[in-house]
Amino acid sequence: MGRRTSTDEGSTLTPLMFQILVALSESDRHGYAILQQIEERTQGAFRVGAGTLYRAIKQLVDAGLMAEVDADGGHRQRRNYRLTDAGRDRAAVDARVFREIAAWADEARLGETEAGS
Amino acid sequence: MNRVAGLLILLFPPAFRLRYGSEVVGLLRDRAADVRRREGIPGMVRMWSFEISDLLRAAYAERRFGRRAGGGQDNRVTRRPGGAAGGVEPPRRRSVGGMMDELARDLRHARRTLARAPGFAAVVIITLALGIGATTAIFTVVDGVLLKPLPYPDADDLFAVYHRVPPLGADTVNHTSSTFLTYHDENRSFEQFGAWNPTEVVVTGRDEPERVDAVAMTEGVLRALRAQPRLGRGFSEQDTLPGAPMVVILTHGYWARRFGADEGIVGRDIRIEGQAAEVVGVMPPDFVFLGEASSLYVPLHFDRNAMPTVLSFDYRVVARLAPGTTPEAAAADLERLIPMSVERYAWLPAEQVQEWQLGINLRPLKESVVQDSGAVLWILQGTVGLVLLIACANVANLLLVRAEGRRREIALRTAIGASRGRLTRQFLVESGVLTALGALAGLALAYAAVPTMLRLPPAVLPRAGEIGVDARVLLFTLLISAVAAVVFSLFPIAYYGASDLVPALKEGGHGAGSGRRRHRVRGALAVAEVALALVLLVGAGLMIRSFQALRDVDPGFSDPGRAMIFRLALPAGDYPDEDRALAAYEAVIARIAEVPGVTHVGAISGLTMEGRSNQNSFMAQDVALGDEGEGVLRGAYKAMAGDYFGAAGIPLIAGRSITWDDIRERRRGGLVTETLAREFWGEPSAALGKQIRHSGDDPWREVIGVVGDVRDGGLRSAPRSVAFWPVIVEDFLGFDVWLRRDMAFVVRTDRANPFDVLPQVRDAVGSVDPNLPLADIGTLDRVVARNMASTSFILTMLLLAAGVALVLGTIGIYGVISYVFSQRTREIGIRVALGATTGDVRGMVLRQGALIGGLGVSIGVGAASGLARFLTAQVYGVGTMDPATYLGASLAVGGVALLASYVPALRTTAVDPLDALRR
Repeated sequence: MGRRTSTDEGSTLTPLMFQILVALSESDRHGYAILQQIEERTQGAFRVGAGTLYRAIKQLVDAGLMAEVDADGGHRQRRNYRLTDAGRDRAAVDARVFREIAAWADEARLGETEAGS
Repeated sequence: MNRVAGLLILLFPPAFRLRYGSEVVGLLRDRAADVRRREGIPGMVRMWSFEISDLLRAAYAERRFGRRAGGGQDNRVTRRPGGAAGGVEPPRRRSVGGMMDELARDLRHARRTLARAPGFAAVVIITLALGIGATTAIFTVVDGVLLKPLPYPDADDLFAVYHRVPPLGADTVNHTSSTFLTYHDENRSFEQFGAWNPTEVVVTGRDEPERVDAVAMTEGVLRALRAQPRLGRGFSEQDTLPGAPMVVILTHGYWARRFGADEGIVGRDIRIEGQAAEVVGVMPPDFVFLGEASSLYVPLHFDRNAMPTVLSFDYRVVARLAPGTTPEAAAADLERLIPMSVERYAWLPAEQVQEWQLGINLRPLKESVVQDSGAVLWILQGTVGLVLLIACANVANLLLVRAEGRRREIALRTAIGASRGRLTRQFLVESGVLTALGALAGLALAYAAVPTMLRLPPAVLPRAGEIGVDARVLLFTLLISAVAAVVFSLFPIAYYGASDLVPALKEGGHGAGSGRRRHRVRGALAVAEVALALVLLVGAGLMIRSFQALRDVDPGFSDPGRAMIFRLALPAGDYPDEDRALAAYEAVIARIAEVPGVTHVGAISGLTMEGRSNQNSFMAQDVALGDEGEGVLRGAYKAMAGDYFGAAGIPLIAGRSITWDDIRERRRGGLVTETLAREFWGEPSAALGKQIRHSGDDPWREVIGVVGDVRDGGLRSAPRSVAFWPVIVEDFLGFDVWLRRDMAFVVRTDRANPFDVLPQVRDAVGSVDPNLPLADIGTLDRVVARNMASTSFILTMLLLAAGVALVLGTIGIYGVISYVFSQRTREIGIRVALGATTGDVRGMVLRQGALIGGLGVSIGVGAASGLARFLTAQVYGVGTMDPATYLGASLAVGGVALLASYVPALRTTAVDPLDALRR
């Protein structure tokens, strides 16, 4: 936990927030596109509701990790979002954390147990 | 569903809603479209149930954690290192937030527990929905009719003013023009004093001629109600003076329907009763006149210099008490004016005033509008209250049974440290969730049921326009639901409180722990259900017998289903002299008689049981009833034309009917009913040729015929004395010529459906005068049905209530018996092993059922005999203690109780003793 010194922020992002940032790192997207992308990449294992999604978006926008861009000419029901530089850095940091957690799980042979059961 | 999402968005804090509300809704719409394309309806159901619970969760989280002091966020995004570490939940505090957390946890727990027992939850919710729904529906009506104040400002100051005549036992006698004018001009206690009179007028000129309900009133009526017209003005005193130009005020509904809500209507003329009348005002849409459904208001005219000398109490009075006056003082003030009214207008011989002990009776206006419907509605409220009680007993029972099954879980939770308070709260939350769902379903039921009840006739249900599910009703539902929830959760709480949980843990929740005491509680609940069901069944039984008795009453006319009726009025403007009016009546009747399928046709001023009857006295020339001189009988007179008796199916017992020649030549003769003939002369045939009249100033009139009795006061009252006079009479009750301009026509057909001839009848009337509208078209059958409306309404409601009660009671007994014996499987196994036969075991179970049934029936009979007196005014032809009804209801309930225990009995005997012992 002590390695997170590159930013001011404390603990890890939630998995959902992390995935939102990752989805946006590929391209600007609107809310539904973010959601579709997440569900596609996790093969539906990660189900996100609209309310939860926008709560997370709000927090990320407030924290300056992503920003609204009015690509559709201000069409309010489909606002596009873009990753900020801070967001990109933060996603990179958290990606490392998540990778290490995943590696740890592998070491603990969690995946095998699961496959075996 | 998108609309539901739109509503759920409202749960989010405004800041969130403004920023993301439309985006969330838009996303849901896109997603719904995709899901529908890919997965169809099942996918939609899955998606929406997921999204809705997600919205609820997110809204809660956003409200709870979304905004923290300093503009920061709750969570990890901006949390600084070294800040509050780790945990998902904030530290627990005894704060509102902390309590919210606990509540949320309890709710989650309740949802999980109930989801594990969907059958139990469904039964409880349906039971509560029935109880709460019925109670709410009836309360909606009770509230709208009885509890809510009348929809006028300071309605408590409004009174209906009546006369009291103690020797006649009458206390709601209305006003003559003489009393009204005297009180109106001289009283010192009322701010406003107005007279009114329901009437009907014909509106011609635009479109079809139309007969509409109207109210004739003086200027004080609308002023007393403090009702301001939406357009134009109210009536002024000038409008009521003799010779004043005719004016009219339209109700909002009529203005919209007939004049297309034309804003420029004020100042224009319309034709009423053949005369031009200027529209001076239009009422606002929410104005209701004392429960009367009317289309327009016309002024009442009084001529102080030419007052009628006829004694007729035609005018109703509504008055607003002056500030600072009490009703008693106001009544005394008016009583002081009675002698003055006699002096001024000589409307009553002075000695008569003494004899009658004439007094004033002030009745709160609401009471006078609502009248007798109060009794019926309170009975129904009581009835559905009993259904709710039964529902609660049933739910309590189900909860107890479930509590039994959960002893192990509870014992475990207690063992790992759950406090008793915590468990109590958990139960309350569970009951609360169940009740909330039941109440929601109940509200939906009530919402659907209320419009059906509003179709009842106004005699049963006045103020129908003011009835609706509103905030007060919601509050009531909330209240009864809360009370119900607390009441039935007390049972499981008391149960856990009393039982020692340690054995439960040790024995795996089985065996010796299920004590007799708890069985007794459940048994008592089942007994209560049986008793309550019996009370309702007795009520329903009494109403069924009354209904049958009323059905068997001979209304006085035969085969009413084949007789069509309608009303027709000849406006004074178009038919100024009586010969023209008579010619019109004769022509209309002759043309209708020519229609194929019509066998008889006639006209009458007031149909039997229609409630338009008058009260008059009869004197016979040769009979002295009572002490002095001529005898006086009370009864009504009616005017007739054509073959009314043939058309209505009233038998002619002696003599003959009135012919057109009789009417044209103004012969002084008429018919009387059998009752009247017997009262005066002992025998119908003896009446022929005798002379009768209504008042000492009238000439004598000859009895030319006697007809069978008619139930003029309704099916419940004995036949009254009625005299039938021609439609035009001379020297009658102070009138030189008295002509009925408004008659009910009866057309008897040989068709099963009398309306088959309606088009030709319309044409026949139109060929005489295209400006004459047919009003109140119906059949004689419907007049009878309307007369029974209140009885059949109570009957239907009680039957429904009794049916629901029986079903719930059956479930209750079945549940108790089968549960008790499932707990005693081991015991039964031992008995069987020791040689008990199948019959022994079944007998044991059935005895238990019979005990519950028997106790319930005896308590129920006692309760029913106490409560049945509330039905006294509603039953007919049967006493409230009718043994047959009580016996029938007891047998029915007892039978159901046995039946409900028979099924468990069958199951118990299927117990394999070895298997039972091994357990």
